[in-house]
Amino acid sequence: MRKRIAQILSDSPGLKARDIAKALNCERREVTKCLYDNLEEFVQDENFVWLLKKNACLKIEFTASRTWITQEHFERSLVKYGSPLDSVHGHIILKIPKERKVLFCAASRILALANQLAEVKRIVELDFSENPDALSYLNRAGFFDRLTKSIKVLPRKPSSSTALRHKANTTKLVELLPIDANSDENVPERFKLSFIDAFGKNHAQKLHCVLGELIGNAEEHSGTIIPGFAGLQSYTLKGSTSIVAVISDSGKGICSTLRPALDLHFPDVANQFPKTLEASDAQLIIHAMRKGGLSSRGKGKGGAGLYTSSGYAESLNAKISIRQEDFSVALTYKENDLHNHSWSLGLPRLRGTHIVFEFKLDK
Amino acid sequence: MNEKTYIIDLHDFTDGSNNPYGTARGRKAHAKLLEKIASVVGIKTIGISLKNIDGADVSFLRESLIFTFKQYAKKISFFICDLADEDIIANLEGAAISGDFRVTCWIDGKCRFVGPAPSPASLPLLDVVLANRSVTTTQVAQALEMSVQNASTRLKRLSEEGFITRVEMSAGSGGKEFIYQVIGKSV
Repeated sequence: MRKRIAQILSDSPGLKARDIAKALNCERREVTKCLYDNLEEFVQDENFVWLLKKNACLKIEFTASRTWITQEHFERSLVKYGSPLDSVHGHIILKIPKERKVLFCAASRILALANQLAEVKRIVELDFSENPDALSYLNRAGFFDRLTKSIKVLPRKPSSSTALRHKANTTKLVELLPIDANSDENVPERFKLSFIDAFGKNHAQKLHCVLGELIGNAEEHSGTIIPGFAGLQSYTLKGSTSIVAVISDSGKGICSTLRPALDLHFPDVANQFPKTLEASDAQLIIHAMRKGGLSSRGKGKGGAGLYTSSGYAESLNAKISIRQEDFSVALTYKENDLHNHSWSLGLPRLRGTHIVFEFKLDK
Repeated sequence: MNEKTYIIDLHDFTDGSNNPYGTARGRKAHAKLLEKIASVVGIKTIGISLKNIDGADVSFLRESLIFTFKQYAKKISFFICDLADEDIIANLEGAAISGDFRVTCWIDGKCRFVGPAPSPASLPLLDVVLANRSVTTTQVAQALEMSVQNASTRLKRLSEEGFITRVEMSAGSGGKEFIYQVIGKSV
């Protein structure tokens, strides 16, 4: 019966159970039972009609109780709906609700998710129809310049990029720029110069080094056909200015890059963080940040990126969060030392490495 | 004894960037540096000037400089000069540690080392060489009131570790003796 229902819904999507039963000349309750027994294949929409999931639409709304949609709100929405990368829905709508502002770090994850969905041939729509201000802001941030062309934007994609028009013409916002080792554009340098324009030379060198290391890592290791991107923005909240940098790629992830080298070059570390232990990947990343020297190329050949970033995070009393495919780690530095670190496991799938580096400027 | 010192401007190898970064760009600079060094014949000491570099991260410095120095270890002595500030020195330190190689840096006329530290026992000998710039084993032994043999062993180790260079010279007595020198000079 499952196959016959699938055929009927393939030919005529959007039927009620009684219509399917009529077409199959059988009892409605038999059809209903079969539909509910196979929810991985069939889905009922808000009009109570049934569809094949691959032809159905999954709408994910990034809700937030306060003004700003943060990376935590992004994650909560993904937990609520499940990762659309694991769903069989062929059509995914990512909706930005009305009267909400999208924080840079959340925008970067929405962008990464949308591009990853497009890469696996889903129909993707970004729905800003209730929030034109967010669309305008993200246009200014270069969001749509980094968005895969096939992704539809509602109510409509901006006709021109205000990011391209105003590029490097503001001190408060730096656009999301592509990460590309072969590009002539030096993204960390661009961030450094913007930072100096806005806030002076203090901390500029440190910021340049952190971004250089993390962007350099993404260039070298991510191994993805979806271009990564990086962005920087300053926020002033309650008189305190925060600098938020995001570095995002849709590649293999840090542990997938490091682990093959551990057995060969760092057997002690491999034994300390065996893959079979639940949180070992998260702990391995924290170890790489605190101890340094772990490189996919072996001893004395690298492993400075995360370690150096951690060192500068210490001197800037920064916060770092690193989102991997299904977990994240967070490190908070205070009084020039690592104050605490934590991890969250079992997150809905989002490919790649998504780093947020945040620090406050001295008043 | 008066070796010619050749100075290379790192900026000439960074595609015009004052703020180079990353492993990939470091490797590109490394390849260009190797080509340049191969074209320089008969030079035993090369200084790398960072006068046109405002900032560079650890990975870039490791790939471009440290791995170049390692490749030519025991053939050419390198030093770094014209360093902009303490941040770039800290990154050089990180690069040298990460690449497990010692490098001599000249900062405001003073000689400093980045990379793995010398052993506590070798430190007094290194200080004597630094203070005099160029000394014989006997001079170091006399300054520290230690046996010539002991001084010789430790100085040799310091030269093997890359802190100083060792040059064989004719002694006044007619035999041979080793002169230990700091690498490069402030330019």
